[in-house]
Amino acid sequence: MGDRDYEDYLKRWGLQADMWTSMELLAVATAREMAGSTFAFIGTGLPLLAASLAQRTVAPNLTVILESGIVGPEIRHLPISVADPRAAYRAATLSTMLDVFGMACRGFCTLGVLGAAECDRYGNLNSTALGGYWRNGENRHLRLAGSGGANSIASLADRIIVTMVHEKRRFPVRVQYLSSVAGRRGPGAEDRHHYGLFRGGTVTVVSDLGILRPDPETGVLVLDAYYPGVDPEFIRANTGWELAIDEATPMPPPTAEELKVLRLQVDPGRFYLGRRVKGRKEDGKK
Amino acid sequence: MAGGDGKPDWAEGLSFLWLLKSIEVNLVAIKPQFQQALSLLQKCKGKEETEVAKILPTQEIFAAPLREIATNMNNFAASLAELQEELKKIYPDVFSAEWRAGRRKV
Amino acid sequence: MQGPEILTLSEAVHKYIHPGTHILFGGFTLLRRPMALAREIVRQGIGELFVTMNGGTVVEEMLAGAGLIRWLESTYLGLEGGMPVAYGVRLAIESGEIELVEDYSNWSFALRTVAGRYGLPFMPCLGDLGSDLLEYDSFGRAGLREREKDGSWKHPGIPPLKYAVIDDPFSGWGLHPRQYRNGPDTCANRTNSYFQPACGRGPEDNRTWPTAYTGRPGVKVALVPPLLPEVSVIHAQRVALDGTVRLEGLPGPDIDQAVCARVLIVTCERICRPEELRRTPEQNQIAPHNVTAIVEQPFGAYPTAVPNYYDYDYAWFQNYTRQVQHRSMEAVRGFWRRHVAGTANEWAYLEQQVGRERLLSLIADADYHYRPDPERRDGGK
Repeated sequence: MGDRDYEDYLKRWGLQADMWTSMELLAVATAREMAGSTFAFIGTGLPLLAASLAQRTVAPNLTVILESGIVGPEIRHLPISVADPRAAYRAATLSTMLDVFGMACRGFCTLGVLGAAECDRYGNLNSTALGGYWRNGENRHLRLAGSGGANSIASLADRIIVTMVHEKRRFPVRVQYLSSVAGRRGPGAEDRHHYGLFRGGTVTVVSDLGILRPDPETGVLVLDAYYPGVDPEFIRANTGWELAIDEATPMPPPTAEELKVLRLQVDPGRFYLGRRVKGRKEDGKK
Repeated sequence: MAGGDGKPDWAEGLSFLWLLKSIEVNLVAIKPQFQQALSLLQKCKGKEETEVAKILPTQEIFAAPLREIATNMNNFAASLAELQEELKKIYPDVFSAEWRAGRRKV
Repeated sequence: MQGPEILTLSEAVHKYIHPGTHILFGGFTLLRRPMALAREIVRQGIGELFVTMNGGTVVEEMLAGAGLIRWLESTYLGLEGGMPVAYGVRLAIESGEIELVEDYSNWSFALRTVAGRYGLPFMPCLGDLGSDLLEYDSFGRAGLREREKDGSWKHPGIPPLKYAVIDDPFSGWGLHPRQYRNGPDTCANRTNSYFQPACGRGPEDNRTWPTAYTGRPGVKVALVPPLLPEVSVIHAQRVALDGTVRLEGLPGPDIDQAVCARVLIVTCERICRPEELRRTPEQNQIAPHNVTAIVEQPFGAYPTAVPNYYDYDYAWFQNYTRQVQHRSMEAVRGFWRRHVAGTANEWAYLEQQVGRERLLSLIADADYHYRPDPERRDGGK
């Protein structure tokens, strides 16, 4: 992995050592949030990139678990599904979905990385349906994939990271269907524990514009950091509630070392890194 | 036994291919044990008997289990050689002696 | 001992799957999905099906695309190759062609199959609580969870409740992290709202116990009913003549799911002699008495993957997305009509729609258990 290899790589892909693409920025931002984590339930795509980068940087003791039943794989070729045989390569164990969620319940799921169609002001997620759950005959009903493992992970992890494209329609005040519970949700401000969830409650949102964390008192997500080149006002304008931005600081940009590890070790063929971030134009700015 | 329903001639051989695949997968699976055993034997070369005895089972008490292992290894080697000989008759280019000689070590 | 029947694909489908059958499909996303058997269902045009699976969706996409699904009970409807939601399934749900959809999470659904596998009345689940999974009950709303006048269930595959919630009679004693004598709990999680001392907090942080669902303070536990379909179908690498089943690679939900149903059909790449599997019985997962019928159908999971045998066909998934995404239901129907229904049988499908060269190009590498393809993946190591 010498300097010569890296130079060749940069030339081949038309990149620079101190500049990054949107997808690389997201991978770095997410990986940083995994610092110190020990057991993460992750899916494919961006979460896997971030976990692989985190293992090589800020979370060397991280064990990756996939909801399909895979513990601790040494992935060589990037999988496109959690049940892709690529995701199982040289794992410690392959067992059942029941077994890995059992592991989570037993106490080996400190972190989950999830995506969703909607994320509300408390971090609750919707991946099930838009326009109402019951078909209402008005053509507004839109069926999504469903909870999958997201609800289970959100119920059992100490902490979840939610990756989102930052658009107003994706950040409503309240989700249209509550697939996965994060922060408070009840009409009387009841929190998750009121409904019997004994674990968790910490949520961090890593969007493609910045990082949101809940206010310790109200539980409402506020802007904690914004990415290089992004205007916090723009983030507020693209959020469905009145997003507090006054305490936000700029996120330190990806370092040359983080980018090098991401490029040469995590996804050298740019199978995921080469993709555009959904809904955003390619920036590539410094 | 094989499914009827218009099975083409070429597909009749699939069962045998899958049989060979299951043999192949098992062979590949024990590479680490082969490598480890050879590595330890290499380590013993040129060493004093007392040093060797710390790594390998050299005492007489081990003779019986070792003989059993040797028998099974010999049987396996013979079976594999016989299988390759028969396969070579059907697939002379693939299982040829020259190809076998040029194969990479485990 | 009477072993399982050995049938052809068309015989198995004809004998065991009828209009309205409650059928559970094995595999997971693009791993060992029983595609050949599902294709035969399409060929025989068996509809009104009550389909269930944990993490689809290519089988269900095909059945919905062919207009054969009436009810769907599932956890995840994504489809690889560019479809966050399986398109045909989505159209069928939104148009009402699939009349009812019942949602669970991966874990609660898996727990249902464990209850089904072991003949238990229910299994406990500590997830799904607080979510809309408990609030929206499709079968209940349709009046299907009741009994008929003579006391029989309206449908033997639909339980009287979607969930129940109880207060743990053991007061949360078993939840981790928990109290031990000789040191702290060694699990990694550090939060347990019922037992703050385990989290290093003092008694002043102890919460009042929740009263949701039961109306009384207590440790909430959701209960899920067993999953009890008529037919379960899985695709295995090998099945012995006596019915012993061996899955290789990730088992997915199949071991639990296999035993839930009244009838189990196992399609496989190769029927082998029992001695091949009985020398190492610890590697076998399903005992013969559970298996009703075996079908040998090589490439029976195509285009999904069978570890050690063949990889999934990524190009098939990408092509499917290109063919149907954003188009009408008629276009989706047309695809499946041409692609599957119009083929005379499964071998004709493999020959005409896929081709022997394409099939053989997917054969797995013995070390990786899939086919590493440097051209479409990363550079590889």
